[in-house]
Amino acid sequence: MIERRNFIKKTGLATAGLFSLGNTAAFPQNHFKDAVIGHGSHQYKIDLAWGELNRKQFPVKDCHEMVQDSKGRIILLTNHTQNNVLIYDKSGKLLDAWGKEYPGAHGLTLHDENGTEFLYIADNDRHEVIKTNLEGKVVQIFPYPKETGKYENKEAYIPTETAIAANGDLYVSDGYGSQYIIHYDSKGNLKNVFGGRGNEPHLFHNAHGICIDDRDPKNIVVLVTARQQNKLKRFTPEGDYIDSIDLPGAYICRPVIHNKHIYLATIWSGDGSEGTGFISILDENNKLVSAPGGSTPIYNNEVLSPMHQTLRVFRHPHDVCVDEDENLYVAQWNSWGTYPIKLYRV
Amino acid sequence: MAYRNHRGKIALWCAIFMGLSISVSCQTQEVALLVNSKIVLAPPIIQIDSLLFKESASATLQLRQEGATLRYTLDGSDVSTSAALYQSPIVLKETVELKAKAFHSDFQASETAAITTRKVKSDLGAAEIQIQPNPSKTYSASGRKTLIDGQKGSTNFRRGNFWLGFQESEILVSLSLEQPTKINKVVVSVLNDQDSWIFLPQKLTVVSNGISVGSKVLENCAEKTSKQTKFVEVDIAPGAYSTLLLTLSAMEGIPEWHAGKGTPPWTFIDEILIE
Repeated sequence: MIERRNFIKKTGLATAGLFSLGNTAAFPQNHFKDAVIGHGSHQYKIDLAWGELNRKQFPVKDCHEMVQDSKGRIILLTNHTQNNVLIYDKSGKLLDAWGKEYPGAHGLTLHDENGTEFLYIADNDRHEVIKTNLEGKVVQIFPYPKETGKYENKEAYIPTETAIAANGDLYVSDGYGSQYIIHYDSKGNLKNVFGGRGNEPHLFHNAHGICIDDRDPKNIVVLVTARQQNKLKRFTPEGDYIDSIDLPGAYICRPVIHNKHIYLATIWSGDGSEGTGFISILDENNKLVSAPGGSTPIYNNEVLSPMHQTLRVFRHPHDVCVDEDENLYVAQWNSWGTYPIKLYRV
Repeated sequence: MAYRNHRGKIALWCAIFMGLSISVSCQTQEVALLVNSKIVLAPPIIQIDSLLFKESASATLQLRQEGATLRYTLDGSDVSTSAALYQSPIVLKETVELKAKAFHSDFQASETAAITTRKVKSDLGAAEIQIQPNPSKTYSASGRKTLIDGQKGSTNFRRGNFWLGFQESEILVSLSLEQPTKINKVVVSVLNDQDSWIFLPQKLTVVSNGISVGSKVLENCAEKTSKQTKFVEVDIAPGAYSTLLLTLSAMEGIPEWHAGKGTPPWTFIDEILIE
């Protein structure tokens, strides 16, 4: 896949070559160059048409989340009940489609369980988490966590995301509900509850996304986005609050770890206006190093200057999937039923 | 937002490639990448230390995009490539509409960002104010005095105690001034945030002692427009007044193009001024 990146670089050069022949009458020469967005080490070219399908046959509503399986396939979750799951290859060709019973399909996490891969679907409308195999067969349902004593009824529980630890423990973030993080063992027995709604550091407003940060194997951390607070909060696996990463102006959806970086779809920015999203990329020190579609990251005395959208490329990014070539697939919420966008790293 | 339609353009340039016999095979162009000219800049972010001011206010413009230049006007005219270049904070001493746009040699110019700042000419702080019906409990800020405290909110209506929110067809605001005051204008600061189902009022009328002294109809309140705070000016028949009754009438229902079509819109007010 290095070939693909080189290929794109070459076509970019060819375009520049054309204009250097003197055909620059009407337009500045950069106008027809491939756009490159992002900063520093993480810059990308944009394919808006990736994954486009016949809208009648394979419609999408909100494109909520995407993951990649061990075969390299890109799995998209949408809340359109004609096909909740669309499975693509990396070129955007559709390989499979299934799922009609997930009206509130929102969170999608893939976990490899001793060589077999499973999906965890957090469904806002069903108020539960559903574990399926990659063909869509339901293998387990995690209903609303009555046993925590925190919930009067299932409506108070609106799970948005799941994360699965190496030992099989499951964490569910109740991001649109009561803001708790529910921690189960691999069999689905309740182990712990932490978080909840509030302004204190260990509490949340919109605990939207969660993941296991295993970049330092000796120091496993649970990362939770507090989207309305523009913060990424760090907890021990036992649920003890460690600290927060401040990303002012960035309404981050879910953290995605790939190699040493954290990728975060940023659904709104600035004052939270419609259509102001971009992508945030943090390095191994949890510093923002690139914001494709967003403002140049600047730190003053370790404090990030408030972020805002600068280019109207994305509307409402809701998740980022990173493939082995470090190309990105961006699923968007409330974006006129458009399909995901692919970014090629240059 | 211009995207998606770039495939035709790529094909066109492939034809030109071949016409010039350059050794690039268009068959290998399997990915139609977005080109610079299809990308629109986001508008600059305008920040003002105080939207209402007695002496002066300071405005900054920002768009942290390499190579972008920001230009602005203060006289309500469109921002063109020859408008004033933004270099340092702009000092405002009068009521003005600040308009700003971002430009870049590679990308399309942004939409216009606009904000009106207002010099406060008369202090209503000592007036008596009554509002009927009461604002929604969720958006009642610091009560009725909020509307004459000289404090203006931002477009983020949830932040601070600035905005009173109503989901009513009519909102009545009565003002009793300490003494008869010459008034030629009533200014009502309202919010337009259609994504949050908040629309501008359709009509404002001002009555004093049972006699209509001014009114204003906002013809465009049902049109799709971006989030902004707006000062609605109502010209008042010249005279000295000690009481004023303002009526804000909301649209009957949210317009057809909106997800909330047919339901009563919200009206948000944060300040009332007289001049």
